[in-house]
Amino acid sequence: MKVENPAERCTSSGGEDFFNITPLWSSGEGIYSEIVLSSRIRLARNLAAFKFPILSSVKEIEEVFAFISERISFVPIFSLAHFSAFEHKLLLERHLVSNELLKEIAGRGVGIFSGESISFMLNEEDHLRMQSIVSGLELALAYKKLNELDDTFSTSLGFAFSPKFGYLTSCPTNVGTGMRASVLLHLPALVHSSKIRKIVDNLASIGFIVRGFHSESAHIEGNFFHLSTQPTIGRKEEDLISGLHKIVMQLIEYENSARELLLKNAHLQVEDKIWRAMSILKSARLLSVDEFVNLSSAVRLGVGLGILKDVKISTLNQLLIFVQPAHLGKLLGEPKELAEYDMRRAMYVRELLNKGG
Amino acid sequence: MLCDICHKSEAVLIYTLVINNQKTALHLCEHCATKRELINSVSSLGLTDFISLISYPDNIDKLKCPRCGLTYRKFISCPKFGCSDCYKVFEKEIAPILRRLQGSDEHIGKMALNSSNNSKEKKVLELRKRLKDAIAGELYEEAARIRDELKKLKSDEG
Repeated sequence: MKVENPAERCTSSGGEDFFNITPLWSSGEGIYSEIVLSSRIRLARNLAAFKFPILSSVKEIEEVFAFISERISFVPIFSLAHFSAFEHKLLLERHLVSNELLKEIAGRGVGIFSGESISFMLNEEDHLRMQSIVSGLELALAYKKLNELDDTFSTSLGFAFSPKFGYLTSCPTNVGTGMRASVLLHLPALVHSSKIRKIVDNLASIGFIVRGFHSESAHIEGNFFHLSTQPTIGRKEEDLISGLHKIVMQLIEYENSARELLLKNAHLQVEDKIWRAMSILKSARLLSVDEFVNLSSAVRLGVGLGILKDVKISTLNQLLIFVQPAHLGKLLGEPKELAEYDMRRAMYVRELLNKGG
Repeated sequence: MLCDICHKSEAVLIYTLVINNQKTALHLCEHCATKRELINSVSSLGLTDFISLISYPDNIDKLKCPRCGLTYRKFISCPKFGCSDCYKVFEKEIAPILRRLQGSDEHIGKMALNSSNNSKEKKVLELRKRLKDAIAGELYEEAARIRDELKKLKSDEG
C-alpha cells in the first residue's frame, strides 16, 4: 500500500508548497473563459466487491482505502489523516473535497494529480468520486481526460455495474452514467436585466440544476452560477455533455446581447461602475469575500467588454481562489482575529492587481 | 390531508410538478412549501422529488437486502442504497421512480470495462427488447426466433 505524505511530495516537486500552486483550471485559457470560468465532469463509482460507504464499518472503509491504494499505486493518494484540520479547509476551498467527506477522517482520502485538473475523493457517499476541471468552455475535453482514467480504474478496481441500471451509486439519483457535467458561469448583464430568474426557472424545468458560486449552497452571489446536468440514466454521456454545451452557448449569446443593450442604454454608467470597482480593489484596506466577489465580477465584465485592457482573466481566477479565508491564512499566516482576514484580503488583492496583473 | 413531504403537518397548498409531461400533485404544509419554493427556485428533479415519489408496497416489511441488511423502510427514511445488490432487491420499487423522474430506467451510456461477467445479462435484456419490438411490429417469425434464442441462453445458465 502506498500512501504519500503530501508534505514530502511538496518538497520533491521543487520545494514549492502544494497549496501555493495555482490550479490549472484557473489559467483563463479555453474558449469564452471570461463568461465560462471552468468546465467540470464528475463521475461517481463504486467497487463491486465492497458495500457502499454509508452502510460500511470503519474497518470495511479502511479496507476499501487500502484496496484502492494498492491497485492504483500510480496515482498519488493522500489519506485525510495526513492533513491538518487547517489543510482540510484548504482542500475544501479548492473544491478537492466536500463537506460530506470531511465529516469522517478514517479511511477517507483524496487523490490529486495533473495540476489538480483531475482529482478524486475516496469513500465519500460513493467509493470514488472522480472529477476533472478544465479552464473555459471545454466540457468534451474534461470528459475525455476523465474517461481515460475511468477505464484504467475500472480494469483494476472492478466497478459495480449492472447492464440495466449502469453504474450503481449509493444515491439512486446518480445511477446510470454516474456523471454530472457542470460549468461555472459569469452572467452579470443577465442578472442586471433581471432576466436571470426566468432563465433559471426555465433551465430547471428542462433538467438542469442552477446553483450559486459555492456549489454546495443554493445562495446565488456576485453574478456567478454553477449550471449542471441533472439526468443520469437513459442518456449517453456524450449527449448529456453536448446538451449542456448547447445551453451554455445559448446563455453566452443571451449574456452578450444583454451586454450590448446595457452599453447602448447606459454606456457611461457601465464604464463608471467598472472603473470604480477596479479602483476600490486596487486601493481598499478592508475587503470582505462578498465585496470582493461582487467587485471582481464588475472588473471581469470590464475585461470582457474590452474596457479594462491590462487585467488578465487568470489573475481574477487566481484571486477567487486565494481570497478565501484558509488560503489567505496559508499565504500570509493565520490571523488572530477574524477582522484581520479583511485586511489581509485587501492587501493581497492590491498586490496582485497593482502588479499589472 | 397531511403534507406529502413531512407527513406531519396539515397540507395548505397543492404543488404541481410537471416531469416529462406528466403532472404530479404534491400536498404541502406551509413549512415544506417554503422550503420547497427555495429548493425549486434553484434546482429541480433532485432528491426531494425522488422522496416524494417513493411507493409503499404491501410487502414493505419483508423487503430487505440480504447482502447489506438495508430494509426498504430504512431506505424510505434515507434514500441511499447500502450496496450494489440493493438495486436488484429493490428493482421493482426503484425503476418506476427513475422512469418518472428521468424518463427512463435503462442505462444506455458507457459500459464498464470490467462488465464481461454481465454480458449475458445484457444480451438477455437486448433480446427481450428486440422481442417486444418484433411483436409490436407483428414480425412473428422473427419473434419466434428471438424467443428460441432467449430459451437457449436460459438453458445455458443451467
